[in-house]
Amino acid sequence: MQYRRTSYAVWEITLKCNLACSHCGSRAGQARTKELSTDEALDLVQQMAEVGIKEVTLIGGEAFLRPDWLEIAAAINQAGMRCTMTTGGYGITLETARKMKQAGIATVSVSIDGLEETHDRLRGRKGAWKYAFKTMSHLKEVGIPFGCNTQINRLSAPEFPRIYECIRDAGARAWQIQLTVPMGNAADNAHILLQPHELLDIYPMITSVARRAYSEGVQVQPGNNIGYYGPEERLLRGRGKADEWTFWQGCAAGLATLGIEADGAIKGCPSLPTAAYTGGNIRDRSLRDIVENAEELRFNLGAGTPEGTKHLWGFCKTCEFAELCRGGCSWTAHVFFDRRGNNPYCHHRALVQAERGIRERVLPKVRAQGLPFDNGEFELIEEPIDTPWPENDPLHFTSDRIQWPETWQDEADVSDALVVG
Amino acid sequence: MTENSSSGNAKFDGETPLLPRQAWNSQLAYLKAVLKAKQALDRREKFN
Repeated sequence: MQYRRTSYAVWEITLKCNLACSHCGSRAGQARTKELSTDEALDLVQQMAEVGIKEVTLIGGEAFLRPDWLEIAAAINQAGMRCTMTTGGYGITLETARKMKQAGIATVSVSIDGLEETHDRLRGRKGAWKYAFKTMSHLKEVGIPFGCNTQINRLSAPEFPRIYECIRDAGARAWQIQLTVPMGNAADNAHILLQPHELLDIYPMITSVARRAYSEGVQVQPGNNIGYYGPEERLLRGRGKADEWTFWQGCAAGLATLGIEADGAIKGCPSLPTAAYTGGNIRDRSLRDIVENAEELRFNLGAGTPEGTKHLWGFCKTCEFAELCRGGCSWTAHVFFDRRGNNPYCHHRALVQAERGIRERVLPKVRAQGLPFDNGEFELIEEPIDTPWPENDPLHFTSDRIQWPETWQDEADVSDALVVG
Repeated sequence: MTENSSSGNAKFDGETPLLPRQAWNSQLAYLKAVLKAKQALDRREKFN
């Protein structure tokens, strides 16, 4: 029987990292000044089980740089929760992989953000790509099922079909994809972010690659900021099954997910900005108290009442999917405009605006402070769709930049035919 | 109190898990919203 995730926590157990990613939302590198002790971490494991968490994904920084990380992993298993891990994959030796298997780590997701040159550029370390694939071979050898996760931005998008071929051939069973959004380091590198209008060329490509992946046994898993009611919504949200009732149904932060920072700060989702969405710290309050009472973890309650949609503004307020969608991914909307409720990374929105003859772009307006999980603010530009694209934008993404493998001519043709606007 | 827990302020014994929890107070309102979205998506798919 296939495992179905119900409630899970994503736990940054250290902010220490051996990579320096230019899109890292948490600006990882150095450990936080007061990361949880082993005793505090083990206590938190128990508290997570008690509030109903069924799966814990260990992340960093780089989780394995914390000396007691396998002790924590084993404790998660002993508490009856599934332990998984997301890693940059730089430095998992065969011996480490064996220890991971012993500790009960069920699955691992390795980050791959491009072909070798792009990946190493984005991850700030030459050799990162090669070692990530070496890590996959180690995981395979010890019998830990693994998948990959990929950030889609203007650097990685043209290589998307070829990235798929690489991870498929390496043995990945799942592939989580997410659009890069302006948080942390990515907020300082806005030139690599896709423009909202470029989604019209992105989604036909994603769909073509996903169809092939599903048929070849690789499960493409759309992250929370992928899609929203475009023509491919059911296929992507249904993970290849295209069920007529399967589509985006709103942000699950604080409902099914928790995010935990290495110093004990608790959020409803790991990606949410620290300043606006931390409900408390487990050094001060129990996890149960924070989940039950902190407003920062309760903002998704009240759907179906006026309270449930009062945060919507801009396009999302007027949208026919508003009541169910509730502004898409809260993280994505917030980091663009410093408030949630108006999500520019929406396929439905890009299509509707194109039908109206409108093109949307975003321009940086306020810089981010330079803290982990911080954001600046962007200005939304609405302009006639036939306005010449701004000059001096060498990374502008269009479908003709996609590097289709030579044997994929059918996908390339279909993708081109589906592009609108 | 769970034996393994060293938390001094947490008393969880016998308490119902808090997560996952529903965004919607009313199941009927939820189903109506899902149906409305499905119909809108059907219309959009025909249009596209």
